[in-house]
Amino acid sequence: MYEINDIRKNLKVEIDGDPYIVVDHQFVKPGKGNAFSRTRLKNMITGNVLDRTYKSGEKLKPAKLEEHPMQFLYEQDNVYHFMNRETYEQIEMNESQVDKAKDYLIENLNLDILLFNNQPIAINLPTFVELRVVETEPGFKGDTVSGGGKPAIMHTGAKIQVPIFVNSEDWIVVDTRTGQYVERAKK
Amino acid sequence: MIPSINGFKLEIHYLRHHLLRLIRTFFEEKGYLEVTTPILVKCPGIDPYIDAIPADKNLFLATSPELHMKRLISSGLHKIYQITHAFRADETGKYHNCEFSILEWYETGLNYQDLMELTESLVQTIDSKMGVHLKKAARFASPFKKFSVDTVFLEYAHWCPSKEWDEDRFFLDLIEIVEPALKNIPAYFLYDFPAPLASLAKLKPDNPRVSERFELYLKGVEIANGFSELTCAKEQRKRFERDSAKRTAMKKIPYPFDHHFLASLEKGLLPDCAGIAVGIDRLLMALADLKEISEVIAFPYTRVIDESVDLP
Repeated sequence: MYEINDIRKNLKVEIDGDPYIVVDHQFVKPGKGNAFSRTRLKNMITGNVLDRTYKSGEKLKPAKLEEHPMQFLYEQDNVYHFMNRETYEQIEMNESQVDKAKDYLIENLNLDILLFNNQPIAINLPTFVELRVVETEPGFKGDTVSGGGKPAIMHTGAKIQVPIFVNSEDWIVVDTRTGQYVERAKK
Repeated sequence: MIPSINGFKLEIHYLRHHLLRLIRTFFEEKGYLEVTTPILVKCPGIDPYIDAIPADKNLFLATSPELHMKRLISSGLHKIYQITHAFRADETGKYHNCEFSILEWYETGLNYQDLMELTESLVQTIDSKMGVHLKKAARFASPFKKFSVDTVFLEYAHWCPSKEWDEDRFFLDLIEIVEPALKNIPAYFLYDFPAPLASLAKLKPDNPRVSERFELYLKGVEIANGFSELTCAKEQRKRFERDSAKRTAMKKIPYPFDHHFLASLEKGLLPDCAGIAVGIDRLLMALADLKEISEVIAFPYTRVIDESVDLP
């Protein structure tokens, strides 16, 4: 259990059965009185923000979180299947759990999955992934003056802005943090 | 642009220098004696919410110079002040540094009302003279507002602490409701704290549910805590015993009583007097319009323990 003096930014705690991460906290102590920690927490599943004031002596329950190396196997009927790269156990996530990561889930992609009480709650993608362009207008005359690109659709369904020289069936490298084109893949 | 190192503005050194000089001049002109009491002490006080930092051989770093200064008053001095450091375990935050600068003074024959006036006069003197260095006009205009604790709690939290005492509720409402409601008043006093929070203060003769204790707030931050000093040995011993029992109940280590201090009360050596502690770092924050205590301390605790190598 954590004491209020253990409260730090990024500390992960369990409240009412949900995992929360501390985004901000302030030590408050009135003269001749008990100490308090005014704490702002974010629900790691829903993203909802919660403000709580903890009194000295109160305890916070650490959230049981584990990150496991996984591999994406396949998607069927909006269910995403992953395999633990160490234990070979398989786990499933639904579309809303996978959320924005689905744009980058290509078969056999290695990634990390965060488990809370053994339930998957978040995917940590590699920074760069390679995606195949399935649809983009050939020879599209973009605004070459400002170096503007053109829209392209990837085989995962992701929509990425690419330079005008990129064609259908090309493989490109995309930054998963920003969703931006990086370069043409060397394959 | 003001030069800074590691985000600490060099002008703060000059402001602190002027502040300390102004404090010394103020008290010197009023005939006060500057005194020194130990940092290394055997009895760091009995307050259930103040924990001392242990030093060697059953000694602690002083959490406040209060008991020693009252022993000096008992020994025959009448007007004394001190600028020193105090240490409190686990107190680090926006307004807290576990080692901090304290200004404390005592004067015989005064009560807490007189002391509020004196404190206001000190803040005003410093504010108007510091304004020159800060290139700003004085901001803490006289007279400071005064609110009794019961009045503000009745108005904003809708209950009366001195009549329906609930300690947890009191502190939570103080920080969540009352202080935020008053935060736009530049300078104010809260006074007549409920008797359970009297600590070393006298109870009010015509209403013993409250004590003759006050706190000064500048820009919404508590700066000072003063009171009419309790001189009754029996009552003082009772409070020490009560607070010590509370520490035990909270599974905190008990601290020894200061028997010299209690003996001076028993012999009737402590005359009627009033005393106050002012947080110098917080006062500097209020004067210089800074938001965090680490902005006025060159080496705040977080930097003292930081192992990464950086500039001076």
